[in-house]
Amino acid sequence: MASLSGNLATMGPGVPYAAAAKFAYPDRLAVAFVGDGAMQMNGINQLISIADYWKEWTDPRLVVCVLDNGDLNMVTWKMRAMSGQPRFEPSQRVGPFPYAQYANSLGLLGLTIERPEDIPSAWERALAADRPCVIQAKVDPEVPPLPPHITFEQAKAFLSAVLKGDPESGAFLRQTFLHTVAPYFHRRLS
Amino acid sequence: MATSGPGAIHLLNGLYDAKMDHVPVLAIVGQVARISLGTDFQQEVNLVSLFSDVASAYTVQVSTPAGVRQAIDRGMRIAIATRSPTCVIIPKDVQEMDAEAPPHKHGAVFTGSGYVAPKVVPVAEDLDRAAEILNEGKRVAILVGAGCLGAGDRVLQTADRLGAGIAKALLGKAVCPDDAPGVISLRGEPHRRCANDLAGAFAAPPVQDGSLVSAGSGEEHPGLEADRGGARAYPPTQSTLSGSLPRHRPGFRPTASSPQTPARRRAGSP
Repeated sequence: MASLSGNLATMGPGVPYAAAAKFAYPDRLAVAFVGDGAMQMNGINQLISIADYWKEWTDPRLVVCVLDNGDLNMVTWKMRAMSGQPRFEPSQRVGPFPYAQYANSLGLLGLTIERPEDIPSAWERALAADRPCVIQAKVDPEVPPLPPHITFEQAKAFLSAVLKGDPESGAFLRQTFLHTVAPYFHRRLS
Repeated sequence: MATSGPGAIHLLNGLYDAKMDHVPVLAIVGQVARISLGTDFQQEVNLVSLFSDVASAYTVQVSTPAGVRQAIDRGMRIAIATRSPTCVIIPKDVQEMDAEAPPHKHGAVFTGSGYVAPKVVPVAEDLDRAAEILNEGKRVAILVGAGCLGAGDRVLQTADRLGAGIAKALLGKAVCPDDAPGVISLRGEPHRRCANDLAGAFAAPPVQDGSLVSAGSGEEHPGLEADRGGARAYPPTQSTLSGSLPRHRPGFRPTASSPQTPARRRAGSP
């Protein structure tokens, strides 16, 4: 198990590194969790190489789970929490793409997760597959990816993003209060 | 490996990733033929200039087949020794020539075969200082990073001995299992609150009697750069070169009571 690109934190290395892992350890399962932004930067291209090489691997399983939320979400949240900036539509929006269908067209297995109930069966199929698999998981962009841990400065910045008119403020306020703001006040009060 | 111009440019992101996470890589890159160099030929990019930052330890453009062997040899040795990318640029016409061993005459340079990583041992006073801080700390936390890969057992032993908690930096994820005793998973932005709190608490006044040891991680945390009213930290400053040192090798056991006089003291003292 590894975490890569720790310091450069470059965009979209998940699928290429998972493919590299398969070349290094063709007998082991590789799983990459990547965003839809990463897929559109270089993950989709890398799937073509995976489709080209997977038959050489002793264990053909490589699962790419695409967290599909139509948003460059980590940066959106970083901007909300660290600089008080609302979501900037022109840079943050990620257009739709049929990742699972595309995987099927390459001869890989493509699965979609639309509801929480789909999760177990999708993973069972992916892990039992005789070829690499792409799971396109529809996820909610308004769930904060940052840890449930926030400083006063970040809380202030976050509220300022709301006041500056973040287009998604209604939805994320509900999610965020549960994950982020509530524990902060809970901690201050306790 | 990449072709010249735009193909070479594609390597940059991966090479910077390797540079910043201290992974040795030798990039072998093509270039226009020697006769076209400096003419703005199609796809000609000044590759020596382009790669000399990311492959700052060694970037070279070879001009004859006899020079290739030494360039590749040095490229690999320097990449391994400095844990960073190096780059050898080979013009197209040189690629197409027959391989040639360097002649045994003045100007040709040779090396031995193989590479043996040095054993890097901290000087005794640094180890004593680290031991003192750890022994004084009533509550000890360890932040482990990629430098501890392969030394997981020793990290766990140390934590057990000190009753310490272990937070892992992102690149130290594989150092020890998340469910080992005292391990509270990853710190860093997208990760667990308790691991962040561990490091955070030690940086600020809440923990006055604690010690934090940063082992094999170059990760910064506000307040850990100096002993500032909270816990005492080791190392006291982030070592900018820590990641370039050779990784832990099994059997390597630095001890504070090393009988050897540290080289630094030997050289500097009257």
